Amino acid sequence: MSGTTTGEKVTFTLNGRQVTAEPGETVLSVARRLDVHIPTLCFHESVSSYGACRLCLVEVFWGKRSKLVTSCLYIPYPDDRIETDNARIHGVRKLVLELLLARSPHVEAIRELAREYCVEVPRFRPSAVTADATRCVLCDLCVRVCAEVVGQSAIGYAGRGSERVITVPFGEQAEECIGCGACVFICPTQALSYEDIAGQRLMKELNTSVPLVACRVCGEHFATEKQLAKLRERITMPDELVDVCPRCRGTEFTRVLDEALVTKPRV
Amino acid sequence: MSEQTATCMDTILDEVLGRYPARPSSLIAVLQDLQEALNFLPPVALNRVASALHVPRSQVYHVATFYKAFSLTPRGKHLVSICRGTACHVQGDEKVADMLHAELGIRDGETSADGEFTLQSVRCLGCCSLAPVIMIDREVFGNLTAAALRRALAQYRDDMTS
Repeated sequence: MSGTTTGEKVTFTLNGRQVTAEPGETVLSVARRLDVHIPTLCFHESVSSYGACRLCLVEVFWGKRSKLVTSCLYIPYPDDRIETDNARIHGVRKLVLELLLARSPHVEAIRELAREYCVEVPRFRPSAVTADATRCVLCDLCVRVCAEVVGQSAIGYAGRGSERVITVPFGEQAEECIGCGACVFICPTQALSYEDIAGQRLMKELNTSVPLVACRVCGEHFATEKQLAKLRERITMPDELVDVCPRCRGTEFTRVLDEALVTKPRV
Repeated sequence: MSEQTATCMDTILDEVLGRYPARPSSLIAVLQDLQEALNFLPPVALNRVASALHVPRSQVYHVATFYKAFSLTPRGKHLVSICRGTACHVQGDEKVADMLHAELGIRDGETSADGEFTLQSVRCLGCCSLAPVIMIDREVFGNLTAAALRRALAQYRDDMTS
């Protein structure tokens, strides 16, 4: 990629200001830390950077030369001179937003960014495949969160070019999906959704349903079986508290604790 | 799927998987060999490949749908590629496509009912001086006329009856 490999802090110029990046820190991270606004769609601090949306482009200058780089991936070199907003960057972001707006005109996050960049009617028409105005902009966040945070890799791509879509394998019921909803939560364009009906969580766009579990105390369906099995693997929570919903967990915890103290009094 | 074809598939899968180290980087090589052996990539095979090579199924599906060389639906025994390059276009690739449709009853991407031929359009076969040109499997047929096209197809039809 880029940047220094020495594992030392890097001093560079951000919008005319001398700033310091931690070893391996990206320009976007430094900018966010210093309250410098850079728009993003495909970035989330919980997962690795991907550089798909192209909205976080910034311009790096070395002497007379310069180039546009994605700030979510670019690790600065010492003495880089970086601008996060100028006429060139503005123009490119505007073009990107025109394309995004043409593809997904109903997504509020995109409409808002488009307004910010004065994009009203895009010059482009969506391809035949996306003519039904998909909300998905292929930002890869759901794929990354499923792989990196949840550890399931249930979601992936199918097809290529204008036919590329997000899907589970073969577009049908995926056993890998634990119905945790991390993909729905992280999606910046609300392209994914789920519904809890009749004891099942239906991951709508992924054509997958996962059985729900009722809270042992209040009886409300609050999580899926597979989600709780995953939790058991990963965290050290007393087993009898895992199938209790977050709302009942506090009181239940006290009860379990009391019981434990009564049955096993301290010596 | 009958029990016999299932066992046959298992044998092919074992054999192909045995050719390469069981790691993610073998994925494309394995899929290529399976495509060659089976003429398509059935879901059972992709699922087996995923667990054998330690690759998430989602990624196997991604790769299998990404490359035109892979097909998830059965392809005919013979792959007929119509060149759609500029020279062939000028020389009437559309007429060739219509003739093939008349002869085989299939359009781009389809497979004939008898499972013998699959038709696909390709950008350019790189032999523009022979336009209009088609390729059946690995054999090129150029300067096509209606008669030449029928002869070419007949050759492959005979192939499978013999």
